[in-house]
Amino acid sequence: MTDPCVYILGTAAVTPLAATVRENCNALLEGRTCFARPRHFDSRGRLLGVDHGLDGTGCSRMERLLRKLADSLDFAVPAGTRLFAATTVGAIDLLEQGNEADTVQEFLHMAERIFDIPDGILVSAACASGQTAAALVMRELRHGRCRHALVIGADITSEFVTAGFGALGALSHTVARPYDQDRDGLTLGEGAAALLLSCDGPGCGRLTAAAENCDAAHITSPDLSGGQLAAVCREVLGGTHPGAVIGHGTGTVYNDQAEIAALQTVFPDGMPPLFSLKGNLGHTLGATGLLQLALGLEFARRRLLPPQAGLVSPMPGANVSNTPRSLETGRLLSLNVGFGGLNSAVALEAL
Amino acid sequence: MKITGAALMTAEHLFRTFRRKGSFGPFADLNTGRRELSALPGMPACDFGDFGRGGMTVRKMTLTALLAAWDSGDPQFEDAGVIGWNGCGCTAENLTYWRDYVSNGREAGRGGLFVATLPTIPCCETAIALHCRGPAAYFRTRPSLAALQEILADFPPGRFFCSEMTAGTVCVLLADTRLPGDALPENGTLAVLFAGLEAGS
Repeated sequence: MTDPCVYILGTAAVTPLAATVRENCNALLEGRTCFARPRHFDSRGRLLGVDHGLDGTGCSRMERLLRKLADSLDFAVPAGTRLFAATTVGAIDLLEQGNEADTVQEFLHMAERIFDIPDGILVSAACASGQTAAALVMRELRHGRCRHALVIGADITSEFVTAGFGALGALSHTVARPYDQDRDGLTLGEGAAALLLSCDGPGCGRLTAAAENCDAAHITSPDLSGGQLAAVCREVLGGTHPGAVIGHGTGTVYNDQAEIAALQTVFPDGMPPLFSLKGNLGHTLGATGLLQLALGLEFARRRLLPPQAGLVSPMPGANVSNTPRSLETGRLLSLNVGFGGLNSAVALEAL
Repeated sequence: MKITGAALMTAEHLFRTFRRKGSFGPFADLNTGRRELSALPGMPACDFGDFGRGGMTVRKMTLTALLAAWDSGDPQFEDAGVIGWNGCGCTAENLTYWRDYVSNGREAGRGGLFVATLPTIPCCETAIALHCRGPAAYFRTRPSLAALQEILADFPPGRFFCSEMTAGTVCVLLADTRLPGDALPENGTLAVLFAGLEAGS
């Protein structure tokens, strides 16, 4: 390893609520949500975290989302920066329109073109794609494969994915209520995020550790004991206590149950404050991990955690609140969980 | 990094392994292949209880990985990761799910077909079958084995099933990054590497 520190030099977050990290953070602290009926397909009455500003014709919705992300960057990308791009299904609207192209390959090509960085690396690990990409970048930087890396994550709302999750019975009848006793499923959303990571500090924060593993238990359900998720949490924390946990928190019965079980195992003497973006933004799939890191860093810098949107009656054992809370430290733990039993934990720290 | 086991499945559903020089099939169907291959002497413990859940891509990958595991002679793989690399991803599964959904009036999507529309699903089904609890992910890079080797070398040292699936072939190598070995060539595919391993062994 050339340098154990991976610094965050810049962050960007594009959601239906706002197009900057600061504005998104303000909106979350106010408890704002973005759920509406999409106009670009018939969602059968379901609400989604939809950005109507992405509606249009002439190119993929994903291309419009990536252009919006590129336009939102308020930091310079140094020459020689490598590109890492995370998604679950990529430019899936192309397939809906009759184009039989490989939608994740198309996504990678769009990202390379829009960010003007060739030879990008695509990372796909279901709903853990974003943090899996960040973890890969951390390793690449530490092994000296590159000096700077831009890691992006993006997914769009689509009929393809909405119908699929609907068929699995995973969608909420109203909107997602992460960590609520009466949660009844997830709400899909769309968004994108970017982090400029580097060995050159200090930047505004740093990623201190990352770990991934697999439950190897079931293809769509998490291991409800949370055992493997607890293992990656322990690995990245190394005995430290974070100021808060940005959970995956989809609002499905099983995901949240497994997460709480894992966190109770890791923190037997008391769980840190817990928060999920998905009560405000919905589940943004391959973007969610990087949104968690970008917005989580801003929470850590402000030492403030937003209220949990959608919360009425907290799950037993879940340290969640419907009011903003102050953080004791600027260190956070962020979790991603994905189909196939994928688990990812990343620790970050504000500087 | 050392390749400790490898298996290839051809378009004709013939399976070959590198170290043990095994050659199997073609089978009447992949379920028959599952029964016969999992009964081979020295086959590591595996769980194929949900073999019928996955589509053809998943079945091809899990059987080829099973043979790569057998080829290595290792009895268990709990610490191993499962990595998908390049190839054709899940484009065929996307089309299958979408066409089925549209042909059923856009109302009755099939959850089982939807689950297959992620490129990591074959990796995760393999992890379940062989009880691999290391990292699982799909990466697409320039067509360079050296790029794949860099990704593997960057993980904490361990064993990784590495798969590449094209329309015709499935190749799975078991790489142990704790062991010294040769650098992989800049260009090529896992199937080409497998052929080179066979020719050189």
